[in-house]
Formats: sequence, C-alpha cells, structure tokens
Amino acid sequence: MSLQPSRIGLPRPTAMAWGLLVLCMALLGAAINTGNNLLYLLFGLFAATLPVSLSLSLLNLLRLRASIDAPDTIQAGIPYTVTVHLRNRGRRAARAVRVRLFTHRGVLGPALVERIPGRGMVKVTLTGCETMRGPLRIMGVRLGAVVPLGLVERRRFYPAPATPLVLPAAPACALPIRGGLQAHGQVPVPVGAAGSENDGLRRGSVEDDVRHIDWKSTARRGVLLVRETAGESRPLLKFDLCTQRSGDPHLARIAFEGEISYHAGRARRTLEGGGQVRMTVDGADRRTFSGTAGLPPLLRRLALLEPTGSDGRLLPAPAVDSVPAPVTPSPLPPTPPGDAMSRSALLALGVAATALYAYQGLGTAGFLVLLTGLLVILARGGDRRPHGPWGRRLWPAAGVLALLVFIADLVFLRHNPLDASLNLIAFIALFKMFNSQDARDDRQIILVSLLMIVLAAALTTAVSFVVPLLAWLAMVTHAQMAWSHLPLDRGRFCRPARYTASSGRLLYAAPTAVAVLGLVVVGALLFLAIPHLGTGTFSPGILRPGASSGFSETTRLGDIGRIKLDRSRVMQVRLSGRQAGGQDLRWRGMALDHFDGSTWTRTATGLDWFSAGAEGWFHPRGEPEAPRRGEAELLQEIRLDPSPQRVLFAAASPARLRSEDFLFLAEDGTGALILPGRPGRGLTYTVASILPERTPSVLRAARGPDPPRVRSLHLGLPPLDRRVAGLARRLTGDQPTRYDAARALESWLSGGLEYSLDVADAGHADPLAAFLFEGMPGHCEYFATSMVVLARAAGIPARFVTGYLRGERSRFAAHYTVRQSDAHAWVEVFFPGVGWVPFDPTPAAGRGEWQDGNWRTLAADLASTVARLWDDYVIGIDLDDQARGFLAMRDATGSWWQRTGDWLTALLAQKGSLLKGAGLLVLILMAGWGIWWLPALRRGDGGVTGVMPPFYARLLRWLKRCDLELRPGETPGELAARATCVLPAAAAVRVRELTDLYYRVRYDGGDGRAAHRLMADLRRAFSRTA
Amino acid sequence: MTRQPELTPETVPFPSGEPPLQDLFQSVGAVIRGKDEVVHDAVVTLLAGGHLLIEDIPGVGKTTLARALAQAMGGTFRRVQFTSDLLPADIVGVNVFEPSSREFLFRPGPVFCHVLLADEINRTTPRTQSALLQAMEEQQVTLDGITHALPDPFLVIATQNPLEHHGTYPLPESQMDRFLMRLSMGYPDRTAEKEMIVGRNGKDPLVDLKPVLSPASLTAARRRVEQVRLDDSLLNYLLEIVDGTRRHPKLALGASPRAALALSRAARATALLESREFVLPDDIKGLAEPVLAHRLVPHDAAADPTARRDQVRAILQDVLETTSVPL
Repeated sequence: MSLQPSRIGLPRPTAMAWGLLVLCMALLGAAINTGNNLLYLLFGLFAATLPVSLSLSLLNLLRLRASIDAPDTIQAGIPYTVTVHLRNRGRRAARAVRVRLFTHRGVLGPALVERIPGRGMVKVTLTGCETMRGPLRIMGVRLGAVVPLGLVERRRFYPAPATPLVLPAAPACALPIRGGLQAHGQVPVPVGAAGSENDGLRRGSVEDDVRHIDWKSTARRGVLLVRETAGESRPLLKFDLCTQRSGDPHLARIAFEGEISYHAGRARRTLEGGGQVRMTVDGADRRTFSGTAGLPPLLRRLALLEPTGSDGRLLPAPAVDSVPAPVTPSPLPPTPPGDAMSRSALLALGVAATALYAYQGLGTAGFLVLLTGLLVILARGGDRRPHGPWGRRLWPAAGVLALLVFIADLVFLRHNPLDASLNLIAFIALFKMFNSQDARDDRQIILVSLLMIVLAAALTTAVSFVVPLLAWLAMVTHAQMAWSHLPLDRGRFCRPARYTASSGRLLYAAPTAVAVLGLVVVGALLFLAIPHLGTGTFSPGILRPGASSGFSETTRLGDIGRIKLDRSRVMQVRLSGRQAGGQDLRWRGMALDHFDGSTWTRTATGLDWFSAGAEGWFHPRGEPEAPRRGEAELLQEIRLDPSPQRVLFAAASPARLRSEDFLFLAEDGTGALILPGRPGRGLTYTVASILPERTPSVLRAARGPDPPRVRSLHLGLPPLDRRVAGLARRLTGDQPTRYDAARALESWLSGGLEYSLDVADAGHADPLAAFLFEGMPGHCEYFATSMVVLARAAGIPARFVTGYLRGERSRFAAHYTVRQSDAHAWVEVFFPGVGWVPFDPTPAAGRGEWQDGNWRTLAADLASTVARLWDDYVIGIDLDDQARGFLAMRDATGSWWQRTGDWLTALLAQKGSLLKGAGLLVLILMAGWGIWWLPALRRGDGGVTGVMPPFYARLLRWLKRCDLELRPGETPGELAARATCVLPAAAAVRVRELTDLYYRVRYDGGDGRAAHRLMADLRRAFSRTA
Repeated sequence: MTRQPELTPETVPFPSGEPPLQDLFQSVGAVIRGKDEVVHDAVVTLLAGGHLLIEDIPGVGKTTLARALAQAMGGTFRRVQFTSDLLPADIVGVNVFEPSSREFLFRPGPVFCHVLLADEINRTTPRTQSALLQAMEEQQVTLDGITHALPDPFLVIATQNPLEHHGTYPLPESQMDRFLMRLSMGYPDRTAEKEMIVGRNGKDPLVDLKPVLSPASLTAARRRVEQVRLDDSLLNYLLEIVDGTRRHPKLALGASPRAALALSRAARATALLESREFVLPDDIKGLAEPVLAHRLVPHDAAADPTARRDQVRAILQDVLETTSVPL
C-alpha cells in the first residue's frame, strides 16, 4: 500500500540548537562590545547553521515516499512485523531517516535508516509487540529526525488512505511456552537438558500485578528477572542472557547492551543478520538449561511482555547472588564515541588558531604549552586509550597543578587574565582529549576548540585566521553530521554496525562539503546583513606592533637609506577617478627647507589647524575650487598602517581630504598634512589631489621676482665646500630659464653619479662633497640634497621633499602596496606664478620599479591582495559600507528588473517567438506552482504531526485580545465554553467551530482548510456586533 | 461481477451500522430523569469494560440506575443483596458432593452472569467482598484449584451508602481500585423531581425498559472502543495527571497504573459515545474525577466520607490545574 505524504511538519530545534543560539548571542554581544568584525563574521557563520540544517533536512524529506506491507493476520501474543518501504526519488542518497509506524494501538519503532541509495528502495521492518487480540488499524508512517547538523528535527507524516489498512485478528491461540524456546515461524529449538522447561512461567497479561519483569543489563551480561508473587511454587527464576554472534564480539555485545533497555522491536533490528541469543536459566533447584532463539521472540515468550514498558514502574530486581554467573571480563575497553581522528584534528585546529595569537606575543610559558599540546596531538594521531598514557590518577593532579599555574601566571608572570585564561583553556583541551569517554566529552571538545578559535578571533585580525576557522567548520560539521545520525543510548553514542570511522568519513563527506559551502554562503550574507555597531576596544590594528620606523621631521643624511632596507608595509593606496596614475606618481610627505650640512630640518612655522567642512571634507588649500583647465583630480583611498609619524601621505597636491579617524588637521605651509598627535592605530582616508598640467613651455614662461618669504627660507646654505658654487655656476650658467637650469642639474646628477644603498659615509667629514666630487656612491637622499644645494647656490629657491614612491601595483586588484623600501626623497623648485614643481635627480635604478617577477613576487602580491580584500571586506567593513552595499544592491536589482522587462518586451515583439513564449509560460507556471507550494510546506496543517495548526495559534492570539486566555490546565474546549459567556453569540459559535476543527486536525489528522473561512467569519461576526 | 469479501464484525472494525449507543443512553436516561451526566458516565463504564461503583445516600436512585443499566444492555442479570452474613460461596458457588457419581459437582453462584448488581456492597464482610476481586479483574473465579471462566461481557455494578457506619465494612483500596468509576447521584433538580412524582403514577418505569443491546453487540462496541485514537500528546497528558496525583504532597496514595489504563479506556469510550474516533483533552479532564477520585487517599483523610470526597476533589482539581493541556 503506497502512502501519500502530508505536508512537512514544522522544524523543531534540538537542545543543540538552543545551545548554539546561546553561543550566537554571546558572540553578537562580544562583537558589539569590541567592535571586532571577526566576531561579527563568526556570529554570521554560526547563525547560518540553522537555515542550512533546515534546508538540508527539507531536501532529504522531500525526496522520500513510503509504502507499507502488513501481514494478513495477527495472532494474539505473537509478534507481527510490518514492513515499510522507503523509496528515494532523488538521484543522490538520502541519509538518516527515523521511521515510526503509527497504529491505533501505539507506535512501532523508531527504526533508524542510515542511508537510502539514490533512486533506491530500503526495507524497514518494524515489529509489533502488543499482545493483540483485536485487529490493528494502521494510521500511517512518520519519517523524521532528519538532522544533518543535529540542529533541527523535521517530520513528515504519511497518513494511511481514508480506507484504513486493517490487519484482522485471528482467534487467540495458546502459546507453546512449555517445551522449549522457539521463534515465530521457525522450527522450535530444543533446549539443552532433556525434560527441562521453563514451566514456572504462566501466561502474563496486560495489567498483571502478580507478574514482575525486569531486566538489568551490565556491560557484560543481561539479566532478565521474572518474578511471580502469587502462587509461587518456584521462588525465583534467573535468566542469564547474552548474545553470541559470529564476527565482531565487541559489536554484538554493544548492540545487546545498548538495545536491551529498548523496545524489543529495536533489539531485533540490531540483531538481524544471524544474531542469536543464548539463554541460560538457573532455577533455585539448580537445573540449568539453555537454548537459542532470536531475542525479541524469546523475550516475548518468556514473559508475554508488554505491561513493562519503560516507565520504571516495575519492582526493583531482587538481589540475585545465589548463582555466580560465569562472567569472563571483556578485554575490550568501552567503545570510543565519535571519530577519534576528527576530534584530534579539531583540537589541533583550535591550538593552531591560538598559536596565531601566541605568535604575536603570548608569554613563553604559554607558547610552550601550546607547542607541546600540538606535538602531543600530532604524535598520538587516531590511537587513543580511555585513560591516556599516564593512567587516571595523574590528570586530577595535573588539573590542580594547572590551576596553580594559572594563578601564578595571573599574579606573578603575565599580570594579564587573557593570557592566563588562554593557557588554562589550552590545558583543559588537552585534558579533555585524553580523558574523553562519552558524547558529552566530545561536545566539550568542540566547545573548547571553538573557544580557542574565538579567542584568537578576538585577538587577531590577520587573514590567516580564516584558514583554521574554515577547517574547524568542516570538521565540526562532519563530526556533528556523523554523530547526530547515530543512535544515542544513555548519553553514549552507539555506533551502528555499518558505521566505522573510515566508512563514516566517506559516507558524510559530500554532505559535509555541501553544508560547509552553504554555511559560508549564508554566513557571508548574514555577515553583511548584521549592522556592525560600536567602536571597539580591540579595534583592528591596535594590537599590531606599531613602532615601525618612518620619517620624522628631521632627516639626517643616510636615514632614508636605512629605511629603504625595511620591507614592511606602510600603506595601501587605491586609486579611483583617473585610474592611470602615471609612472612618476608618488606619495608626498613633508618638505624640508633648512640644511645644516648633514641634517635637513623644517623651519618652525605656525601650523594652520582646521576641521572638516561640509560633508566631512577637509580643505587644506582653503575654499573648495573646481579643477582649473588642464588640471586633473586624482582620488586616492589610502589605508595607512600604524606609524609613529604625524604626517599624512598623498599625491601632490591635496585639495580635499576626508576621514572618520580624526577631527582636526593642520597644513604646515609647505603642503604637508599634519595630524594633531601620533595615531596609535591605522588610518583610512580619502584624499583628492590636483595634478596640474605643467608643460615645459609653461614653466619656461614663468618669470618674475620670487616672493620674499620663499627667498628667505629657500636660498639659505650651510658652509660648503668651495667647489659647489663653481659646479653650480658651471652647470646652470648658460641656461636661459630657471626650468632649463633645474633640468640641467637633474640630468647631470642622475647621469653622472653612482647610486647605491650601501653608503659608508662615516669616514667623510663632508659627505655631500664626497658624494659630489670624490665618487662616493649615494642614494636618493644624496641626490636630492645635492640638487637643492646646487640650485640654491645658483640662486634658485628649492627644497627637499620626503615621501614614498608609487609602490607595487597589484595585478589582482586596483591598488598599490607601499612599503618602507619605497621611501624616497626628491626636490621641489619654485617657479614664480606657478608654484613648487617636483624634480627627481635620482637615477632610475634608485626608483626601483617593480618588475614582473618570479613566482615568489607573484605569491607575495597575491597574499597582499587577499589581505587587502580581507581588510576591506571583513575587518574594515562598517555600517556605512553596509548601507552603501545595500543601496547598490537595491539599484542593481532595480536595473535588473528594468532590463528583464525590456528583454521580455523585446522577446515578445520578435516574430516567431511563439516557442519562447510557451517556454516562458511554462516557467511562470512553475514559479506559480512553487509559490503555491511553499506556503503549503510552511503551514503544516493536517496530519498527525503533533504540531498545533497555525490557525489555532491565530485564534488564541485573537482571543487574547478579547481577554480570553488559556488558563493553566484549561483545555481548548473549556476555553470555547468560556468564550460563550464573554463573546457575542455569533462569534462564540465560530470559536466553538474553530475549536472543533482544531481538535479534528490535531487529533484526527483532519483537513484544516476550512479554518481560513471560519476565521474570516469570526472577525466579521465580531466586528458587526462590536 | 466481482465477489464482495464477506463482512463480519471481526473483519470490519467500523461497520456502517452504528451500535445503538445513543439508544442505550436514551433509555437509561428515561428512567433516571435529569441525571444525564451520571447516566453518561455509567454508559461510558459499560463501554470501557469496567465496573461501576455508585455511592450515595439512600433514595436517590442508585439501585434504579444499576437495574436500568443491566436491563438495557440485555444479557443475564443477577442481583445480590450484600448482608453481613453473606459468604463467598453465596456469590461464587460451591462444590457439592454428588453421591451418585461420587464426585464433586460445581454449582455456580450468582456471579455467573453478565451483569451482577452488588447492592449495598459495604454491608458484607471483607472476606466476602474479596470473593469478587478475582472475578472483577480476571473475569474468572477459582474454586478449589479449578478456574471457571465467567461469561463475556461481565460487569459488576455495586452500590453503597457511605454515610452509614453501623454494621458496614469499608471497601479495601484494592477493591476500590478495581472499579473503573465511582459515581454519585446527588439530588434531582426541582423539575425532574416533580416529573418523577407526577409522571410515575405508581408505575415502575423499569417495566417499560426494553433491552437495546445484546452481550454480543456490547462486546463489539467494546472492541470499537479500543480503536479510538488516543494521540501521543494526550497520552502524555493523561500520564502527567496520573503522575501528578502520585507526586502531590497531600496524597498518601496516588493513582495506580491501572487507574491510568482505566482513564484512557474511559476517555476512548466517551469519544465513541460522542461519535468521535479520537480522544480530546476534554474527555480526559472530564473523566479524571469519576475515574481517579475513589482511588486516591489523602494524608489527613477526613473521617466523614462527604468531607473526604470534597477533600480529594479539591486536590484533584489542583492537579488538573497544574497539568498543562497539550496544544
């Protein structure tokens, strides 16, 4: 008999899901408190598990169909079996379905089906255990507990057709209890001793109060006690039950141990496939015999079970000690739950994640602990023993020691609770791993490793954090998927016969991949959707080592050469607007005007402080002005890493600047932008620079007197070698214009002198003279200084400028990475009427253009791009970015709609588009079907799903507004009766009808479709009278 | 033409012909005026296959109800007036030595019937009361090691007057537990009483009562009761109530597992009587008092039976109000 599925019941969150919810809330709280976007990301990922779990379980359920095969007759007292066929209509295998058969006498099952092959069929046999007399009415099959992540449980009910499937009863037959054990439908198995029989047993019946049955099971044997309190000719009979099974004795024992406390129907499931039970009966008169039979028929026959149940109302088993049981202690340890490998890997990941933090400055002690832990984990691998290699006594002692170390760490060593806690957590993780005995330990290990990762997330913002996180997700998903499908018995996972570590790994590999992918996608969406609030304590960058070397307001000759040896990153620049950004693009820092022979300094002038104007823009050059003709505006988004200097870098010359990281800014009169203080953290700012079009002809035409201020500051020279003035005269004497003179100096310097970063100027009293006249090699600083000195000697106002070269342009994204090695110095020359114009006398070799290099530079480029993306889209994303993103999305959607509309119009306007039109119609119909079908899924009306139909929830809400609330212990029927006294008659009638309908739907699996109309009637009736 | 399968009561669980349960209800109700609830509960007991204890002061129609029930369901009916000198043999029967065949012959007592009316059951000694224990539970009696089966269906309707103390023996708890329900009649209301006086005209209304059921149809109806659906959540609700009585601090003795079974059967029977195929929470809640109250023993039980009944009722109400109804 094939069954039609009902709608799928509402998902039910498991305890695990609630735990996850608590964790999510904690993460969100921590994220808001610290403003750490990594925590937001983690929150997103964990919050995503629920919808992913939901959709996976839905997919599993949707593909299944059920049908039932029932026996023709039922005989009283003899177990009957009903076969449920599950058919998978999908191409891929469906996993882990729990099957329950509902009859009017109760529920059979549950039976767990681990795997239903794609487009395949699985037979599930359920054994009835009633001492039935009457016929059996089968009401349907429920498939449920499809829990790929262990988070939700969904159920689908397959009600039997309107004509109920009824198994007719056969006349009660006497049971052949005497004469030995026999299984139903099989040849009786004679018992060992001739003439012996379990004749002390009479037939039991339901609610039999003189018959007590109890079985106790220990790890190695099961004891079934049947005690007669009336007419006891035999005071006590003791049955020793144990399974003997070919193959792995370990599994057989576990199966017995795990299942004995269950329904007999379950025991049968695990014992099928040749499982036999040996029974030994020891009477008070020492007669012993034994025989074999299948377990459920045996148990049934012994006691004609079934008033027993599992409600614990049986008398406690009397002490049985007269006959010592022949027990051979099992050499095997208890089954290790879960998958040892994935547990070790989980921990290793957690340790690795925290090691990231440890690398950044955890104490030596902590680092050693972590390292040792990692080594131990790696060395141990999958081989584990229940109490670890050092016995069970050592660990409690070690725990006390750890606590002492924690206190000492906190008070004497680190003075930092965070570091000390981290050490403690690492220790607990190790402890748990070696001592883990059951499922609870496994969950704790998951938790501890997660804690370690979260801790690392709170402490670091490095992109390398993502790797352990993703790996952790995959591990936990896999483990959770595998564990959630295993039957649970007394808090311990019973591994089904088919599940072994390796097969389990393969079995759940594909769903794990799907689930993790889904998690990442949904989690990323959630991450973007959650508003990122707060300004954090642990804001990005604050924990970075901040004191990188850099420029200062005084530069000694040779300083920059030292800086240039440093490869650390200074900033990242992204260009927008005019994208090209020519070869000579450079980031100007500060202009220095005074040279004393070895050191450049800046003449102290008053700083001109200003704050942001309209729309948050600073205007260093006064009022905003439109770019003049021939000028171009270059928009740069600069992310400056933490540095000890107060100067902001930008392409010359900055016209406006915007940032949310500071409130005031100063301009020192030379175009340098100065911050009020040294920023302890990285800065982000957007700056627009005007790039003037300065052709040689314009500069040659610039004439006129220099302003007095320029002359007073930029012509001064220290006492110099006498050769300098001569050189200056010789180079510039016959040049017609100031531009030609500057060019001549520039080309002479770049062409004639040797460039080297390796400058040994210690032996020279006058390094500049040595550079110019004695062939000492120099770097950019020497070239620039020489040019300024020569220009000034020739009467041309010039100054020394520091800054950075363009940097490496990423091949993967439109940004430049500027490093300390890009530090540079060049020259600015004053032209009357034009302003300061840059010249660079350093030869091309010194400008170190980045070349297409080998794989190493490529990898470095890629890593920096990824890091940049990570910074941009995870670390740096804020409320503004989110809002902008959503606005963009809205615009994009709008234009998409418009384009689709246009396309449709065009399509329909084409000639001969009948075929396409038909296809479109089919699509629309399918979409309509989908839309119609989705609410049906959600509604969950009908079927014995055990869920309150939504219409009744709506009615309750409605009644609550009329001051009619379900009191404690009040039934819906009583509420309806009470409503009669309160509501107007017409409305009260509707309430009564709705309640009746609810009862029909809820307890009879009736059709709830009339509810909509009744609710409308109710509202109408109420509003009319009110 | 296809051959229709033969329909018998065994193969058809829900035959199209309804058993005349409503008729049963109507005819008994015609005799006991204005006591629909009591009659309803009595019929429910009948359907659920339990035994009935009617407890009230004299003259309110206890015996009339019992007789009306017995008469309406047909089958053999015996009545035993319980007195202090009644012996077990007077109920169960005796083995008599037959000199001709030189062996003992069993002479069945009045218990071998479909309906046994045990009138004033508390007037007899505990010894005799106990003679009914096995009969009520196992539907068989054992005499001198030989077990004799009783007819099916077998129903005991007992009456007692709780207020009388002289020469009475209160029923032991084990006996009380075997009754599915305890009902009390209460005084009729004014109109019913008036109608009773005017309408009777000195005629016994029981004379007009015709049997509406047969033992066989009652058995069929009982089988149908078993098929009424009891949702898992309702079963839990029922067990919660039962468990609530066990955990209640004021109760020395809570409801037994048998009480839970009785309650579930009675709820199913109520559903069937109201032409439903499924049990409602209202069924369970409504039946809690008649089914459970007589089985509960409070810690500081009042001596006065009426006060004690009120006490138990209040406790039971407390349990019902603290047990949440499944939604």
